[in-house]
Amino acid sequence: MTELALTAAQHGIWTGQQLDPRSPAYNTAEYIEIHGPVDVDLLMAAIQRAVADAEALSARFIDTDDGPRQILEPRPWSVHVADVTEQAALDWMASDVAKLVDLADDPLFAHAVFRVAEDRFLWYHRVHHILLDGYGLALVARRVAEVYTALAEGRQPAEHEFGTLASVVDEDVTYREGPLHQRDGDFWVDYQQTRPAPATLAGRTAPLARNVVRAVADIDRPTSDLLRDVAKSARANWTEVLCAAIATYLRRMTGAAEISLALPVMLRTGSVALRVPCMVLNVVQVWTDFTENPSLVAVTTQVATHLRRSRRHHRYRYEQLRRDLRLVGSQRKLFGPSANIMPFDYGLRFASNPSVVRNVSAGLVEDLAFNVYDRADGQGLRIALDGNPNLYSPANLAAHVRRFGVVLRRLLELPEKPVGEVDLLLDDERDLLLHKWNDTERAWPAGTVVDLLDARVATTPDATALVACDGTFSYRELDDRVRRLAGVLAARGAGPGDVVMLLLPRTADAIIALFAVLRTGAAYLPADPDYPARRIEYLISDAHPRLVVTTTALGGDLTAPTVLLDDLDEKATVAELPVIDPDQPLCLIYTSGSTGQPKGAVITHRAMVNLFHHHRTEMIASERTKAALTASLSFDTSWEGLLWLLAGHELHFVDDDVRRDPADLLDYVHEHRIDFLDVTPTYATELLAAGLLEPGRHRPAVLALGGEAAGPGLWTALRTAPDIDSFNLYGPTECTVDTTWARLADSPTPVIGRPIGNARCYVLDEGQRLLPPGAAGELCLAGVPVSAGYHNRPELTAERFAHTEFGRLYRTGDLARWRADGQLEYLGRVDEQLKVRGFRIEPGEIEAALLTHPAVGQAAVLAQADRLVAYVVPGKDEPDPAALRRHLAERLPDYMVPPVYVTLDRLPTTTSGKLDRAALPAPTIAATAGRTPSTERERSLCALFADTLGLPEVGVDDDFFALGGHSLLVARLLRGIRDQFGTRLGIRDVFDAPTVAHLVQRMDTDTPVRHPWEGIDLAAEVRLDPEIVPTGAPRTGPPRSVLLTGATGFLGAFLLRELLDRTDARVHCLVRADDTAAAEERLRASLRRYGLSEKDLDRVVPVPGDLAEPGLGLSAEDFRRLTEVDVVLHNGAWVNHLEPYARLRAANVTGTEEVLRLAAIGGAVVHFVSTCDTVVAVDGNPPVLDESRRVAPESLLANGYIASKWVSEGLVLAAAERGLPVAVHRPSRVGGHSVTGVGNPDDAFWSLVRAMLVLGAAPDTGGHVDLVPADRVAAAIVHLLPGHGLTYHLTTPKPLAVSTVLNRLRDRGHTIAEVSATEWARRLDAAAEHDDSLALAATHVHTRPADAAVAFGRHNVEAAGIEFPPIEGAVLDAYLDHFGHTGFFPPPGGRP
Amino acid sequence: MRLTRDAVCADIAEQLYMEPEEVAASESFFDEGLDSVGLLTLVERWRELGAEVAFVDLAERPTLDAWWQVLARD
Repeated sequence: MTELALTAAQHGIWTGQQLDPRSPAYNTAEYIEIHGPVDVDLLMAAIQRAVADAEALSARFIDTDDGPRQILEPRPWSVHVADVTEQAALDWMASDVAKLVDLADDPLFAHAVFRVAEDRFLWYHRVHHILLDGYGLALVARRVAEVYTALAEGRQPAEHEFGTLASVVDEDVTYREGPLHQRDGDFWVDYQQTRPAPATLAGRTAPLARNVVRAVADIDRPTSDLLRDVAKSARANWTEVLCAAIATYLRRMTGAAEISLALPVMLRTGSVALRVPCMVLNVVQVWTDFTENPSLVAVTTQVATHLRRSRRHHRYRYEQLRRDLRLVGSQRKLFGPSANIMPFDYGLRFASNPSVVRNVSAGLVEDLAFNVYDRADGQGLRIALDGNPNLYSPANLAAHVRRFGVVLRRLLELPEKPVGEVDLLLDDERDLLLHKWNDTERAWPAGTVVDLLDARVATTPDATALVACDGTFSYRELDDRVRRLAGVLAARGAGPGDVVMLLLPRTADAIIALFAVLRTGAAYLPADPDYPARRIEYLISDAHPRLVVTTTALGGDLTAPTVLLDDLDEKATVAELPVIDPDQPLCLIYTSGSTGQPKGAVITHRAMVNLFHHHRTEMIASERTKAALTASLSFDTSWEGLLWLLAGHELHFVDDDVRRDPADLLDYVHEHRIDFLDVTPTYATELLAAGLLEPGRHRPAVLALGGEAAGPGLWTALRTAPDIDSFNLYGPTECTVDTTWARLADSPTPVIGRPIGNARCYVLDEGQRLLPPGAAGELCLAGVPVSAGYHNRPELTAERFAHTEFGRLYRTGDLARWRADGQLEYLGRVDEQLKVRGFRIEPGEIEAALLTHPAVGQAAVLAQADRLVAYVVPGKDEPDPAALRRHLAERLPDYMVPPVYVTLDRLPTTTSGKLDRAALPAPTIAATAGRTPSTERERSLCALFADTLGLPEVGVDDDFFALGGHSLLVARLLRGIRDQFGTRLGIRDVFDAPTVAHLVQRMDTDTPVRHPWEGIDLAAEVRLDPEIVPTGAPRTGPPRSVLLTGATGFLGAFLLRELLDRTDARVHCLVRADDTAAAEERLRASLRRYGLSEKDLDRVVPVPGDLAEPGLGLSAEDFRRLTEVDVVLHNGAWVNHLEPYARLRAANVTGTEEVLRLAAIGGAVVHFVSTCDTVVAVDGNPPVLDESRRVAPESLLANGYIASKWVSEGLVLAAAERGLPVAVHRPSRVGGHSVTGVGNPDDAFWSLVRAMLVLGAAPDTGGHVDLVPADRVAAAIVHLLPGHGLTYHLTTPKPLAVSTVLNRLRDRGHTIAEVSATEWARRLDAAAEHDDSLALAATHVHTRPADAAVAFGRHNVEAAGIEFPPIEGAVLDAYLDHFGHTGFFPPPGGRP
Repeated sequence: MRLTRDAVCADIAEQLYMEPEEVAASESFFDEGLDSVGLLTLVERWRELGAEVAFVDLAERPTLDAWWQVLARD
């Protein structure tokens, strides 16, 4: 037994295996196919002998304090022998090579002999890489052959000539401790220092897998002969040519300027290791440079030269180099893919039998390995491409190896040609890329946008075309105004060839003006009124508009002739309007410029009409609907809405306040039943959080996304949502709004889709050559959508618009690749252009503006998450962020002003002198050092500002917008203020008072905060108007007429249904609506919403009115008429658990008083629907809460709604004392229909359950919930009419355990872990920060304690024979089914 | 075996881009830039022509005389 240290190479393997001890990836294996009759016993003996001779094979490895050691101790082992088919043998080998071995205990090699035919034998040899490398394997194989031959010839085998493992270990030590070691290390560190990260075909890194995927291609004899010829002409070895070809393939497929390859080196010559079977293999790096567009021969020379120069230093371990370069533990790889070109046949003979060696496994692969083997049948070479399965699928690899074979041949045929010119495509691919995937020619009618308008006006002149804040217009009305204004503009000189600027607020006039300019034949240039004056001046000086259409307020100091819409001369001259040609410019839209100045893209009528036809075919609804335009007219995306208008749909030009607040926009969509919305993915995410897909809410039938990349979360959420058809539209402004389109339903992951009609897409490399499907390159667009160019910028136009073999192309600067299904994927930018929240920004433009400030010497701008950060090197003065912000705000649109400024001594550069953006530090300092807050409210509001803006802190006088706030963040801020302080402010409030100091002032003048009825004496609120006294005799008998309030609410709908089904009464419904028809529509909608029948509505009398108004908002006549009802079922109230009492008072308390007033006049019996929460005390409850219980107001739950109900009950009781017949119903939590499960998603309990599903966790506090189904509650109440004098607790005798609900959900496949209540609350709060749908649940957790463990007395309901079913079982399942179907609950196993 | 000493010398010269006289006079081919891959290439070529020789046999003494000795052995 010998104990030794490890060789340096073994050490490397040892360390690698320790990282994943259970990985079999270090097994290498091969088999030798022997042709001829083999004596198996002799072969086994030969193998045993050879193994005994190679002492390294007997090693096992242990870890000691001095590091790992190897113990050479032979142990008995045996050869596996079998008589099987070849396939069975190969299968056995595949499973054997995956065997786990323990380096300390197990034998680290295995042998097998398979007789697959009388004259064919396979000898399989597996060995852990720590024992032998390829050369070592070859030495052992040679020895086996030598011994077998001797035995077969009846001779004694010669003694082996192997050296000792100890000698190799010693030589290693000598090297490591000698002077050459340092010299060699310096060489490689120097070689590597300034290189970029290695490029790979996958484009990313991934952890090591435990197995390897392999794809194989053969190189025929003529090609391998050609390989040798090229080698000769390059004065290099053919292995070097092959290496160069591999580097070239990587270069062409990745576009990287420099390519790194890893080459294994044998290190046997000149070493004692020449004759020792052991592991000494090392790997060295070869860099090839393609910047001068070299030929294959030139690249080969680079490889050969490098290998020659570096040969002396090949012994330096690559593991050590990685440590020297500090790459250990980092994501960054040291080498690129491996080129293992060791194709040498052993050519061994076993007695007289020839043999061929075949590789089974070459060991683990970090990324990619090109293994080249000799096919040894004299027919050429075999390439086995091994890949990390975490990066490459078998299909990927098969495609790559096939392509490599083809490209290799093409390179070898023209070795002196620049490699950039070789064609990468396989034959069928060219057809795919040029024809099949660009088969977009469509014979749509050409024309102008004016033609479209004319046609639409002629077809549906009286349909509503436009709904804006300042008016509604039919097509005829719209066009009349358009023509009139066009006439005025034409008379003022506007015509074909001119540009007319529009500088208008967001009213119908803006759209009228837009079309008016088009009718004159001029092109319009939209300018946002929010632009700084300087920018508007720049646009004027660059575009030279003939006119600016504006208003008195906005048109003050412009240096161009203006037409003031609010000051138009009634008798202004109108001129005739010209005929317009489709190739005339339609508009001039400016986008950010990289050198500082924005540039205007010219869009033609032809291109826009083409887009119209495409959208009409694929996306625009065929039946008339309502569309919303939420984008600013200064963005080309505004045409999405305008095209719908031209297609005959009613366009709602949504105003600024509404379009900027997701919640308000959704209310608008719901109220007006909008069926088309076009938004950026950032905004779509906000809409989702604000409830876009909430059940019961109208969602647009069509949703278009555009402007920036859509993330996978948003994609999945939208594509799986029912009743909404979502599209992703991509296109630079230079190519007329949209050039590619995708229906989200057509792809599980984000894509930008396919070219639109008459457009074409090409993915090209730097040399404008076609890249194969799957390779990333620059997306270039061709066809009708491509603009004529930039206004006034011939050089820039020539740069971006190129004439190529594919036609006239626009180079987008976007990286993309084709998927196998012919859809394109967006991968990012080629250059520095940024997209922040959908806005296209060239950092160069902002940098140029910064540089005009004296305090700025150098500048760089980055986007971090959704926010711009400016890095500034001081110039003449010290830069002050506020001053810089002001400076930029005067020159750039608000979305381009960075909120955060970082001062640096110098800007970091790469070795080539370019700005190294990746090295810019993340900003840590607060953007400001303003006055600090002095009161509790100021502190809280400052924290809320900071949180919303993503800043560490905010001063009391800091301007929200100056710090980077934009309209979407304002909405978030307002929600935070409402939740924290209970105060509702509007966007206007924040614009007018954008600092904490001013906002706090504004909040103080509003309703009281904190406690829901702070400053109010609830007891004193219970004051019934003394005039309310019964005047007539109370009604008796079954009710013939009923006044129902709150019929459009959740319980109200069920009450209405029950009244119609159970009684013959006429039901008068008090509904907030403009008129009877609208009221009826609301009633129907409400019944529908809860899945209830709409029959018998002829017995319903809709009464438009308002509980919050005096006299219920009714005319005296109507009020008097209603006094004649027999019963008033007063269910109506404003149910909101977050509002303070003061805001709920009018509807809930005063409304109740008005109802009592009405009932008192006619003697109607009043049944009042309250809530069982009014009898729950916060400071202790008796075991049973009796129906006659009334708590002191200070004991009430701190909830404004409950307080309003308590006060109302007080009024009802006061009325009872005066003799009015009343009854009070106190339901507990009203759940959905007991059979259909249709319920109210606004319910606090269910939203908490939903939160538990979303988080995958629930608090372990258990608890119960008192749920009664709505249909049963309604039945109970109607059953109890017109009795009076009692209070009823409509609660369940057996509350539902929360654990029952959770277990039922677990049965359905949901994962719900149990955590402590504090942990759960913490997780909910954390998640609610990013998901507004959870914010509601979070608020409920904090403001409303879990259903208290109380028991409600049920004497009266039991006496009345009323029973409520237990919820568990069928009813619970119905609820869970319903919430699952409507999407309120996330699907099991998935996040919403 | 169809190899001759002159042919062997020519093969080495071609591999190392040297003149045959230089090859004959060299004291170590490794000093002239021969590497493992180069040696393997030569071995493969000579095996194709019938020599029964392996890398190991030639790697230890890389001179023309030593190699011809090994190659002519059969």
